[in-house]
Amino acid sequence: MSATNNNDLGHRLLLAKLPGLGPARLRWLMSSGASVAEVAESIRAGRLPRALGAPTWAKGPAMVQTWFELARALDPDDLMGHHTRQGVKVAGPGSSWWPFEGDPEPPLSVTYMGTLGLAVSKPTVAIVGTRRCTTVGRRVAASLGAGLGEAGVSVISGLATGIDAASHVGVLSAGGKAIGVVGTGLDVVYPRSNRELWGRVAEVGLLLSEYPVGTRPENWRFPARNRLIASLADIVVVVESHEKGGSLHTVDEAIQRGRTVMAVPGSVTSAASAGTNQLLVDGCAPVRGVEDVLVALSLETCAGPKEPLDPKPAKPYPASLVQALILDEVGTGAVHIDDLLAASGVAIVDLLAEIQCMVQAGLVALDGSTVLPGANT
Amino acid sequence: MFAVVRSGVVEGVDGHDVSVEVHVSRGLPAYNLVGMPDAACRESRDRVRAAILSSGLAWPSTSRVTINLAPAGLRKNGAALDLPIAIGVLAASGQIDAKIIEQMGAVGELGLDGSVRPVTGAVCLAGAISAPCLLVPAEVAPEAAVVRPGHIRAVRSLRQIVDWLNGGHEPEVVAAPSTPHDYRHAQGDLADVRGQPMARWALEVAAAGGHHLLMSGPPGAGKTMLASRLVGLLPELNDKEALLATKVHSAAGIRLPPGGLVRFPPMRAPHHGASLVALVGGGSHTMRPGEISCAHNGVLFLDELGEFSPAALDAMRQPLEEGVVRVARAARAVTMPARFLLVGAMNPCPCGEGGPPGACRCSDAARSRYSRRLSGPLLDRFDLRIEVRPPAAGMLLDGQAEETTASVARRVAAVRGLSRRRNVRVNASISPGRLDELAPLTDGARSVLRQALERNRLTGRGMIRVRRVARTIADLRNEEVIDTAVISSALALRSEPTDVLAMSSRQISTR
Repeated sequence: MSATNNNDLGHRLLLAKLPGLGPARLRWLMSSGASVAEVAESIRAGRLPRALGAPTWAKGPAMVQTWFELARALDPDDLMGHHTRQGVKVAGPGSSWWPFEGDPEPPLSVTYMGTLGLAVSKPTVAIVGTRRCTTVGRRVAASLGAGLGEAGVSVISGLATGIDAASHVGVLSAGGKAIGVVGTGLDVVYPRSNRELWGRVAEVGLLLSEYPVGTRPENWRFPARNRLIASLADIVVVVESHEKGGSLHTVDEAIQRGRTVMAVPGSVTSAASAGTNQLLVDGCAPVRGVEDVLVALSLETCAGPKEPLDPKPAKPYPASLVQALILDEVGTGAVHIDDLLAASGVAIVDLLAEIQCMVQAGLVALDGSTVLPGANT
Repeated sequence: MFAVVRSGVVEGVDGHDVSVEVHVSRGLPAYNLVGMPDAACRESRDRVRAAILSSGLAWPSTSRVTINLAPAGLRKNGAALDLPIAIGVLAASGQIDAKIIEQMGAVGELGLDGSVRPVTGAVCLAGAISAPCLLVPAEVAPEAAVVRPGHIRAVRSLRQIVDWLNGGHEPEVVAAPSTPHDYRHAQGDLADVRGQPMARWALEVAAAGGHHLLMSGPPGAGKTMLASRLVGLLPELNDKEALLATKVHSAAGIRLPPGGLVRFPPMRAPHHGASLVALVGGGSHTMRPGEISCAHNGVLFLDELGEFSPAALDAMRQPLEEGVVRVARAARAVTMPARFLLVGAMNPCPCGEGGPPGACRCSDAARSRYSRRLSGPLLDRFDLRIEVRPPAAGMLLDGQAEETTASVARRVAAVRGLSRRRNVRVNASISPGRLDELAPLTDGARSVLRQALERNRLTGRGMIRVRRVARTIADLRNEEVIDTAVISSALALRSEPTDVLAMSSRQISTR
């Protein structure tokens, strides 16, 4: 990538729009040594750059044909205009801010809404984790996000459901800086359930994507997105991950780039913590609270006495012996009422009454007939 | 020559009296059947002719045969009119005495060999045909005798009837069904349910107060087993209810229990593929009662509630409120009884493994989509919502037998007795206006309710339902006034499954 002037942004967008063109194929395409503009123009003209053999992957020739057809119909200037009209800005290696300088696999360009400066201002922490998270994991992610937001640390996440969304809910609630890196076009909100959050991040933080507007969600785009998260972050914190979760891919990308990876320890009985606990075994630093992350960022000198992760100050206490026993049984997990009946030995009506009382006080939550830890514990 | 034979047809769960008038006269040979017969009824011509000939009798082949099914405005369906038509033709053609058959009613389908075949709805038909002597196919004669003992004669073939009327053997008169017979042992006893105290208690509350129950739990947790135990807790039907249930079952073509009379609350468990018509009743040719009517005064168990078609489920909302279902078609409308205790069962999430979020293979979005399959208004009608877990292995192998159905049923009967003394059918049907009188609250209980309302955990309608459940719980504890513990436990039984997605977006919007 030699020519890095601002005029080739349209060409960069054009290449990013080609279907199936991920980081590896991009590397192959650019290996000819030609500039981005030259590569894009030759594809528009219906041929591959000189000095490049035929594509080596299966169905490669067919894919290249579709590139030719698509590129012929596209005009770089029109593409730029299209983005500007939608209120989406574009940045590339020649722009005033370019957060991917020196990255082994940088994107061609990025489209963004909000303040790109957030991505280059340090420090930044990525909070990632499974979409299939537990209630506890969600709460931890939100409180980490809030704590980091209060400390002035930008929080990066992928705006997926579960941990990703929770961490951004946390940082936004603390008035902190949120950076959302997504794997679709900025106008294609995915998943739809996060549209409110998506809009808030674009409004007060930074919403960033490698892809031009209109790009639909595709499976391979999310791992590619993960490398951008790893690249932007100083520290990657994994809150919950299953044994073979997608967040572990972000971890791999972070390790390649020499970023620090930290993990939140979880119960050994929770499948949603199997991946994070393995990370701890492999030598990642544990996160017991936001202080551990701040220490790792050298923002705090020592992790002093622990405040509980949840930043609720007043902690209500159980009002009766039975309530204390229920709290004890629930701990950080989930208990069915049948078990509480066996453990407490009180009549079912009285037990339900105590539970209902604790639900109103926020000590526990009731989901069907399962008692969970509440928001105030 | 002219003859009349009394007969009837079934529409919905009611029988209607039909006069079969046969006129045989000289003229061009013809056979005309008038009076709105449907296809099956019109085909009777060929069956009747063949049956008469195979019975060694003569078909008036040189005459003009006209048959009128009166009243002419009522649609006649099915083959139950075969036998009266055949008897009418024989009488009008002078082969049997037309005077005798004036006192006679008949229902039955004919085989080509002259045999008489059973018909559905014998109970409804027998109730509708007031003739002093009613000829009924032998297979369904005991059913018919439930409503008109002593008037029913069981017949097996057309020849048998002709022989009798010409001075031969009399067909047997069917007596009232044999002594009452408790046929419920097949449903199993509550003592077989090991562990699961919460679910057992919810069953007791549901049976005592008539509150609809929703169970969620992984496959194998025992949802079906629990539901089948519920019907055993309900009290025996009284005579009127039993007769109605018997009529409905007969009209729907369901095999009646030994003894003929449906004396215990029925349980129906339609498959989730059931169509709307199969559930609520109706049909384009015949108006048949649906599953909800068959479950009248009993239990309707819908397993895999989330898999039922939304249209079928929502069609049940009106019957759930009114206790009857009104099915209207272009030409006619019927009202059928449909007051039932609804028991729903569903898996906690699509993969069925259940547990709290994150513990199984389902994403938040998948869970949330799955829980949305139940429409809000339908979910609102479930007063008791419990989560059932598979019992532990130790419980299954070594656990002691639990309390039996009979002993729990006594408490249920006591609570139902209290309701009757208050002039309500069951506690679930206490009218909102009488709640303050019948379910008084202590100050503490009132403030618990107020808190729940203020925190938007409860709607106004939800509050009424919670108070009814509280009445039942207090009755089970022999308490007159509803205190804090009782109202809290009623609230806890109504806990909403937490919608994880809704939770996170609520957090944003409040900030």
